[in-house]
Amino acid sequence: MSGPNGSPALLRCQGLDRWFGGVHAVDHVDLEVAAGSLHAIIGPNGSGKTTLFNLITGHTRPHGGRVWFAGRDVTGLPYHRMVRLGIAKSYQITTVFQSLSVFENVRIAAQSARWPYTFWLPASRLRDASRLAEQTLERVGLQDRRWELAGNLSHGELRHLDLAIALATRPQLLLLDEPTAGMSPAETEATVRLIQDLHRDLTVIMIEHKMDVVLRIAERITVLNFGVKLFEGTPEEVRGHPRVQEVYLQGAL
Amino acid sequence: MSAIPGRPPLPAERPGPLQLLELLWRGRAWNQLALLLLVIVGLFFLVPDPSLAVEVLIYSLWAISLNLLLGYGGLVSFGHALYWGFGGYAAGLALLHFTHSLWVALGASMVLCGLLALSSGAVCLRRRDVYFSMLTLAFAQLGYFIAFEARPLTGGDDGLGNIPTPPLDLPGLSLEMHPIRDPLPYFLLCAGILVLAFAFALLYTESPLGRVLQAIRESEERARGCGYNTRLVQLVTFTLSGLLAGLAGGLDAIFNGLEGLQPYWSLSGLVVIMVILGGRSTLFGSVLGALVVLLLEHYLSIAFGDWPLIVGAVFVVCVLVFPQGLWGLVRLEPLGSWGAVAWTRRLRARTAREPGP
Repeated sequence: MSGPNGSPALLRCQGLDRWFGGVHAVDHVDLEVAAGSLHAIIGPNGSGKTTLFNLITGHTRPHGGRVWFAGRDVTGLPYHRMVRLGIAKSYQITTVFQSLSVFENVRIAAQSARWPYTFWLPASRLRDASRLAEQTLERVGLQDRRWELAGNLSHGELRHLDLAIALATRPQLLLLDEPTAGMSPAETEATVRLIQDLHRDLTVIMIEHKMDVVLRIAERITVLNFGVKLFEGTPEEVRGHPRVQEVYLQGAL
Repeated sequence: MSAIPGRPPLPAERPGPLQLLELLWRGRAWNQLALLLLVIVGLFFLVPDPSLAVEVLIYSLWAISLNLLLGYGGLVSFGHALYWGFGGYAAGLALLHFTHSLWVALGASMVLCGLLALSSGAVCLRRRDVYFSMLTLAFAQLGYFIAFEARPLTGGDDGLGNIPTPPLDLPGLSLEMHPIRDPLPYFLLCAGILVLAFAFALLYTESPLGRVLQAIRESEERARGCGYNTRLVQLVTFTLSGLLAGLAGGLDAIFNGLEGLQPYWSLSGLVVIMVILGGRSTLFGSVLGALVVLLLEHYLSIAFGDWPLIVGAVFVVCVLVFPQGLWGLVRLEPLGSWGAVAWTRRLRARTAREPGP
């Protein structure tokens, strides 16, 4: 199994199918993501991007097709098992543990690798989980806010906390669902830098609407339209592809 | 246990009495155990009616078991009387027919109710929110009618009477117990069991598993995204909660020598009121809730026939004014628009500005 540029594929989807009632939300989509790459999925609203994510993470069972992760067939495994295998997801609508502290949000994610269901010793004794949580908070720049209630953070901070929770599960593959949605230009810039930093040791797949961001940082781009894969290629190829321009890029370039 | 897990102790540069109090509850969860011991000693010396003191201990245990679900898990069970009642039957039947050992009888309560909670929890937890509550209520009513119909076994609505009081067997010591004539040994027994169960529940809520339980309360979706089988965590808690409720029910039946039958929905409501009135963000709140409700009931029923009216009014006022419960009031939680406690807010504002370590 190898990806487009010769490196082994970390994630491979073959013929993924999913219906919602009469709507063919994801229509026979193949996707290969090379280990270490930064892969973007773009497409108009309702083109099946988030559904494709949910099929990869095990939120939704595919009606057809298979998913391999790190050489293993993971089709139909439940979401929490996928996370333990190394697939983490950050949410389109920020989802954190509101009434817990920022630190505890990340610590809970950090403990899942080694101490998921321990009940015989206090959580504060798990030094490795606490250390990982500290490191992760520093990485996303929230170390000064760690004793704040998560519910008190600003929108941009929440997005970073959301990312930190995903990172603390120590994923190999990180799925980002519109990581810059609703952000100011300055926050977007900070997030782009953060994603590039994460990409140094993680494989990243992101859904993104801001074309300037996608064309700047993605290594490969998959274009979806009405659940069908329209095109896949490098940013240059996508920019020059006439059909892609027609359905999606009108006015964006 | 603080409402904000993982919060560090406050720096005590110049601790005033109020800050000392704040350190006590916020710094270490185990300080709640000290508060519990204080309550037990207080009950011992201050409550003139010994059977009331014992009831407070037993109901505290029951309220704690529910608080694990309701406060920490965000799972509002309206059927917790099922485990209380069946725990009583298990202990009573064991003592009537099979054994003379207190520990075997209480063990029977815990095992039966643990299994009962495991099986009913597996069904109830398939639904969320109000549908979960309705399912727990339905199971409780089902249990009630089974108890009602199984007259040869449970005595039906006459209750299961004449439960003998077993001796208290401890290593190197066997004590005859007479709950009515001499309630002291039974008080000590209940106090010991309550302290152990409380310590266990504290450890459980402070453990990685307990933290996940609280995370699920905040966002089940995200907890799954952290790699947790959320249904499993909730089911373990549900089972544990039923098991502790069964233990409380067993203790109560042995104490009274009787397991009566009253509608489980009202009994379940009573313990929900205790937990919410006391404050569901801490385990000690449940002890406080049981204490206040039972004391109110005891003293009001002497003076005033329609005492449930007053308990109901107190409950309404408490929920409106102190949504965090009585313990939330003691803890000087931010009290919303209630302006009379501005000084507590000033204290909070000051402590909030101080940085963590």
